[in-house]
Amino acid sequence: MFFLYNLERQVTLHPSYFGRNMHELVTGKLLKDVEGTCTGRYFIITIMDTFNISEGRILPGSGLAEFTVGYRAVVWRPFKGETVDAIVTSVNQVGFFADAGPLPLFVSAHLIPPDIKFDPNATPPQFTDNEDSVIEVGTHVRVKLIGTRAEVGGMYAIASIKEDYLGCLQGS
Amino acid sequence: MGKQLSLGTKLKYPITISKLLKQPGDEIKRKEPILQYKFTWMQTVGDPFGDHWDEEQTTIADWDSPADGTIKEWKIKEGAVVQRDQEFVAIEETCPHSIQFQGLCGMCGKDMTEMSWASASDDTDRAKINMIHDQTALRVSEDEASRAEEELQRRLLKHRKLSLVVDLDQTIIHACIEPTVGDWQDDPNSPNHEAVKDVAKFQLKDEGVRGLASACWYYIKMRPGLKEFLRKVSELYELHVYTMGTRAYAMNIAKIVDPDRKLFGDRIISRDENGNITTKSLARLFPVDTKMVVIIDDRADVWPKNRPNLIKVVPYDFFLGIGDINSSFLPKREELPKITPSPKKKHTVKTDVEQLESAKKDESSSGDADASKPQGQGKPEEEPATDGARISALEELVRMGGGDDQALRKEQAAEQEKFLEKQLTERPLLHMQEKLDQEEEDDDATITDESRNGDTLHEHSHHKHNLLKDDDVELKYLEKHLTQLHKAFYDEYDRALVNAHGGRVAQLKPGHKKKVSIKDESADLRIVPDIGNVMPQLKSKTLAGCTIVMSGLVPLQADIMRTEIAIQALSFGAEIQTKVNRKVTHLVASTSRTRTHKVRQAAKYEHIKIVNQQWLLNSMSKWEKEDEAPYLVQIHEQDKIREEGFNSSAPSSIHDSDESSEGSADEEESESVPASQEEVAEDLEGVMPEAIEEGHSPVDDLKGFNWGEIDEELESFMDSDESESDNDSGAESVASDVSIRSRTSNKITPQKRKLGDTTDDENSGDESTLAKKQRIANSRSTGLKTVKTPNSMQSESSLPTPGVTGDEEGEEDPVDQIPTGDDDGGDDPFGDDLEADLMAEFAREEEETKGGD
Repeated sequence: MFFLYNLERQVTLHPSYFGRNMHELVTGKLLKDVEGTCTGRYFIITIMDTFNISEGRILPGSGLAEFTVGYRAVVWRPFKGETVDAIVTSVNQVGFFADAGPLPLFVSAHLIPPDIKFDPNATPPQFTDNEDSVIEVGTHVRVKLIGTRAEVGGMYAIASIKEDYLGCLQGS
Repeated sequence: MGKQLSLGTKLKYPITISKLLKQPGDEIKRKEPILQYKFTWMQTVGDPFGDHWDEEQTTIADWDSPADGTIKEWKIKEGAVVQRDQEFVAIEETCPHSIQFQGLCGMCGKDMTEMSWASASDDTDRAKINMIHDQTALRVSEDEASRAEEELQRRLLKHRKLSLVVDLDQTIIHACIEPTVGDWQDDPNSPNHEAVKDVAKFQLKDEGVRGLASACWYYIKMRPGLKEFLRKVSELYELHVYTMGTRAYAMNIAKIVDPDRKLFGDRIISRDENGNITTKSLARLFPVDTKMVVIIDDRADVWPKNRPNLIKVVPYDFFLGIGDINSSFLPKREELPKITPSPKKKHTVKTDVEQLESAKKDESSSGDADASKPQGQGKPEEEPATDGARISALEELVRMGGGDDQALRKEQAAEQEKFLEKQLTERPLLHMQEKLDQEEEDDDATITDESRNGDTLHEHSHHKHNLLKDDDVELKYLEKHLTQLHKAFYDEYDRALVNAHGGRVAQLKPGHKKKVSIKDESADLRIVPDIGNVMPQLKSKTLAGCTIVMSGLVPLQADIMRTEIAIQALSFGAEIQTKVNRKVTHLVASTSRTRTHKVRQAAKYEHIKIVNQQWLLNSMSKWEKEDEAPYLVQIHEQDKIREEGFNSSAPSSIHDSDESSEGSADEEESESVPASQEEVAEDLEGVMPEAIEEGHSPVDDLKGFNWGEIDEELESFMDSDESESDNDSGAESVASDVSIRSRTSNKITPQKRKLGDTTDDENSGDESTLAKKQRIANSRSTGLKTVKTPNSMQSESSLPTPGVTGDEEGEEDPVDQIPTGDDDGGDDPFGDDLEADLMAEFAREEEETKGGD
């Protein structure tokens, strides 16, 4: 689920950047540091705006200036039970892998409807029910997350297509 | 998915079950108590006055379920007393967690890394097998793996196919990043243009390799006939790629080799997913059963566990001197000296280059850097691999402890980067071509060199400047073998199937109905023959009945049975011997060293065919015994002549050792022939005290040693040496000199004789390690020694070290020698015969060195 979230971060600036456009530099550095990262619970998709850039404080010893920046960001936190769209990246007999934006997820064969079977002889290998559902690398699928796990700098999820309205997205 | 729960070892036994909280059929949750038990224990209690006493306490505790599921059956009753850890309940688990992705169960989505007080073991341990080609994060349990594999096997059987694991580098392609190839490709006038014009190339953009090698072009030469080969083979086999290159590299190669992705599909595994730096393992792809898998690879040593399934391919070495760009971190390739890749031609460019190089070095031994570098290029795989091997050997030990995949891969990448950069900067191919051109010119200009270079130059003039040759035919044989193997496999399967059907009908009758219905499906799989049996059977027909002795092919100190060539020859049904004897049918001699002692020995037996290593290699490559005629080694005239003279003395020594030895006469005789000769060979220079030749450590004898006698001996020996070195041409007189000397030495060292009595007449395996080391050190190569000693060949005999041995000495394998009789050392007639042998041998050696110089 996407949220608009108020966050705060300490940004340090090298003394060589001290000058008139310091605030722009601080914002730039914030964007560079933060956008697209995963905190372990959510992904920071984009930063909307910054506010409350504090007075710079020179850090003793290094000479860097530290700013405390408040910012508003769009974050995405995948929840268990959430339905997301993803693109298939790899297919094998155990299941298939897909990416829902920054989130790599895995759909095992147990969580695929039994009529959609793995066909190893197809090129490329695919899951198919021999009708209109063909899941191969590049296919857009709609999946439901049934478990997520966070590690440092990344999240992983297990998903299912064994429910109504899940699976291959037609016409995409 | 029944699972037995056990009480665990941490409880205070004996315990009494006081209450079962759940009934069969009840659902249970993790961490939920399912059982109440009580136990008694002693507690030390005290009062404020400092008194202590033990009091028996009874405690009631709950036993919490470690898993979700349903209770199936209790195996204990309320009130029972349990003495030790045992299984007490069977539960049906909701999820067996048999597929896990990054610590998540792929079936129920639960976090597997979560630990609680109730769980006895880590759930991640339940799915450990990594069997997916392009993923390392996905792991499956054993059950799941065997299920998947069963499915695969059934599918393959249905299509009458097998699995074929294909290596890339030097097996089906040859890659290099040498920019010269690009230049040649663009230049139609280049002598190599013809050969390289169909070389494919690509750039690796997002590669881990940085620095100089980051944006280089990879030039890929497909082995001749590859497309056709793969097309045909893919009808019989399901192809997998298993390479030591990176993933990006493997994908790019696959794109070149198989543009429609029809052949390999996604079945590509690279070193990024391999998980081991030095070896490949079939268990990575086929964790349960490798019955239907065949491997083709140019290196056998990376498949330590899967040799029976391996077809070793002759390495494809198109870009000479480059070797395998992805194996710089692998241990050094164990290779025969001077392999000539094409069976049709005996001397391809490679050998020529080598020979030229050595010839060149002979003429100008001044150490100009250019000459020494291509010298290294002559042995392509070895040079770059050496430093890799040194590093990896050490670091592998470290890795074994904590196998950090990431670190490992970084290591590999760094290793490779070094190697690639070297190739980019040094441009070995260019140098070699220049060299070749230069040689050509030299050749035209100076005919005087011809006498020295011998026939090499004649050979070489056919090659007309072009370094790269496109004449590999290995894939044709390979295709034949694979077809043959496929047929053999399915023939056997069909036979088994017929039998099994009969068996199953019989099985049905007595009422094993249940059994059959369960195993009906898997019954097919159980009768599937194992490639690991079928292939060796097929291969072993090739050289069956051949007893092979090798000469000059294996490093002296190596255990021949562990060398690559010997292991291979064995797998083709040949028998390997370390010594020449009557049973031997073939002597495989190195083309570069055709005058070894073993060759001379073998020349005595008419039935022994003396062939060069190419015979063996081609036979193994073609899977059929080649006609020996084209490979016969030219026996040096002198060897033949000498043989006749030599023969006269040999029988007597046979006789001697026969008398003294016990055991089967036939065996002993055949063994003792080389034995006595071996001894002769060792003492070519006649300097060695007898005790040492007899396989005795010199140190052992020192206690009873008469040093005065030794001095005398040394003196007389020095005298004779002078006369020797004066005498350059008259080999006979030298021989007589030596004979006198060795006789005297025999007389004045009776003590040593006695000490040596306990040992046998050949230099057997029980010699001390010191002696062995000495011997090895001294016997590396006579040729080298000759070069080193300042005053020509004769001065070699003046080296006073007792360990100096002859040319052949090291070739025999200390481990594999069979000790013969015990107490023949003291025999006088034996000593005389020995001397005669010594003389003859020595004289011959003298002559030979002069001739061969």
